Amino acid sequence: MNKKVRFYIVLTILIIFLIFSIVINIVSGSVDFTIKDLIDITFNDRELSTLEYNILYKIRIPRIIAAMLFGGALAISGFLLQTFFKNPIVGPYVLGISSGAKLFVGIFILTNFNLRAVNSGEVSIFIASLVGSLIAMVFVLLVARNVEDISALVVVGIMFGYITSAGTNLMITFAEQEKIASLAIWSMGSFSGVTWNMVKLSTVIILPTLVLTFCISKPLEGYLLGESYAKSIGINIKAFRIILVFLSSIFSACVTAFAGPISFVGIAVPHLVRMIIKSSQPKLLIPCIFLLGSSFCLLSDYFSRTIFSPIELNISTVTSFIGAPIVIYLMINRRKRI
Amino acid sequence: MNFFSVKDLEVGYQNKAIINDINFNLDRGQILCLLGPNGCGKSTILKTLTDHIKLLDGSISIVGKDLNDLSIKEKAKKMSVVLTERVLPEMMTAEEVVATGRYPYTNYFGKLTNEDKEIIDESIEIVNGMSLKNKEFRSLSDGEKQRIMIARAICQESDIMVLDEPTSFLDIRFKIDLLNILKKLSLDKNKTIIMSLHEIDLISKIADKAILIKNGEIFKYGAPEDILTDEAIKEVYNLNNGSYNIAMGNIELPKVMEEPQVFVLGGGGKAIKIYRALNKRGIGFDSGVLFKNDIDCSTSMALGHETIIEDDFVNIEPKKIEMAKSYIKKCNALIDSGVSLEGINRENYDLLKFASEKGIKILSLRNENLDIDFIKCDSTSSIIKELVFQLEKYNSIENRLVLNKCI
Repeated sequence: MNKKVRFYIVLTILIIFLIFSIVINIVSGSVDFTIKDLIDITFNDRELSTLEYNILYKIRIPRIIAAMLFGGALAISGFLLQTFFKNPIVGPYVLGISSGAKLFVGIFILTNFNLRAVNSGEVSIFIASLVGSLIAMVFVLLVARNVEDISALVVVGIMFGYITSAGTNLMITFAEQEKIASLAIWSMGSFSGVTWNMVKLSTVIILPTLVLTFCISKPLEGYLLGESYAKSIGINIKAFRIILVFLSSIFSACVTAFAGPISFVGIAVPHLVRMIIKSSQPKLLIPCIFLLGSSFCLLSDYFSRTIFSPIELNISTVTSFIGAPIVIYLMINRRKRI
Repeated sequence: MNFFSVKDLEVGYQNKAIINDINFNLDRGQILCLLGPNGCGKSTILKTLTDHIKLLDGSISIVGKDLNDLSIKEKAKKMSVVLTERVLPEMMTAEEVVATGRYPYTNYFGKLTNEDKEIIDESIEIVNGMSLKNKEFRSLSDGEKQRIMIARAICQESDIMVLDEPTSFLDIRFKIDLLNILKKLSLDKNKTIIMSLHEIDLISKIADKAILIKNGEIFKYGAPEDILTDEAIKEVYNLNNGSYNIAMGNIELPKVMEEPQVFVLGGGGKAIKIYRALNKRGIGFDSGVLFKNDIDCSTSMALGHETIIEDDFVNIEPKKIEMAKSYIKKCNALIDSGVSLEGINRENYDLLKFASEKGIKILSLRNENLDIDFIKCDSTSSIIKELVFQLEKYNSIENRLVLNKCI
């Protein structure tokens, strides 16, 4: 099949799938809200009750937007890292970049450290998270220069995760009780604490970063043949590497700041998309990866809220259950597919 | 002014120079080959030219302009590469891999225009890759991948192409095809080509200029016809064992050091196979009488113990015949390659006669009958088999004689 045609079909299906995921997230929850209600509200000007208004606008809709943005961001972040390392099994979580963000957000929450210049707590958290991500990224890059083997790199990433956990635990030991609680909830990873302020800030961060990512789809494609060839066709490798690292760190830092570390989205989604589209062209992949990442997180969030309702699971529990088997399957079948 | 010129170039890694004083000039459409043993620094030079390794000193210039003053995009339009490193992009067709060569020409989003597509098709056509076009790149064989990578470089439409060992992974047919393609690119499209090659015999057939590199220094630079000599190759590759013959493109393994057991009556190219078969089995031999211009001569000299040689187109001196006879006497058998017994070769007949009189077994590939007794064989392998049999028989008689004496 023509790749373009295939792409448009896949894109349409993904959009429909995303709409479906949004709808089931709106209608399901501890207070039922039928599809008929939804249609009435959108098309027939039905007035909302105060309860409905509160549930929709204060809880479900920000949460849905957050899940969409964060899911897409994580998936794209994973995609960028996979391109960077020319390896399919890396992602922000596996490489320890989320862990770096976690440590810094931990420091931020547990100490009374605050950035004077920015008055908003959300921005401060994001900056803490970004600094953590970048430090982790630099660490990973330094290691990557010395290890040829990519699996060694992954092990280093996991070890780095343990180090940051140890660091966080150390701080917890000496921290005040109520702060521990908020850190614990945050570090489990969840969309439940997302506020409108966070959503606004995330939109301002993630959407422009996404546009930037799409703008570098040409060098991303040239990069597929490896750095030496990329250089020979006119890509400024040093600048491109820095941009790549920065973009992927912004994505994962933003997610980690507001929803905590979320696993496997970054690995599983780009893979699934590549398999469905049967292409490596970043132009085609980027929109699809973002869409599927959004749907993936929306569905995971749906399951986390509904399976053991009213108890809510943390989001990584669900994404791991779905994502890890996909990764294992992919690794086993990689050779066979060709 | 030269089109491409390299002056006092010093190349190496991390400020440690591997090769100094590299100087060469190329005109448009010229082909330069780098030749030297593994690890001598060919790739380092090529990688420095393509700016994958920082040059340590000296300058590289295109039409008088320093290469490093060009923007990275301009450079990409001037120079394309085929590297030795393997690329394994996932989910990319051969065509998509080739299309990456259009990178410096496409718009911001890398959209391929119809003109780009034509150039891509043309490039794939040049390497005979049309049947591979829509195949997954990873599923191609090494040779096919190499062809596609070359098509990729072609479609980059650069004035200069730098290829690092482009013929590795290729079978003999595509090796020839590839060199032909490169020759055509240089002639028709005026491309300047710089590459490293391992095939010494192919260099003089394709290159306008060659550089011989011997561990860490430019050993020779010039037209391949002038610099590629047997001695130079021997020196550069440190060939103490085995030999290489430039004129013939022959590679011979080290010769057997054993005492000669057989005399080969060669000439006219009939004995080359016999020499090699004997050497392969570790049987030492003498050979003669060969004329200097005979194609048997160089192989015999490389592999044989003693080779009796006469000048071209003259009658064989009686002295040389006597020499041959003395060697024949010492041998246990004689192999007759079927060389002519007429004209200036007629003394060969005398040698056969002499051997027969001395009771030396004659094994022959000759079809016609002579008035001399010989064992007729119909192929080189059967002659060797027969020889081994005869030698064993002879050795066992010899042993018995020795034994008898002892008793």
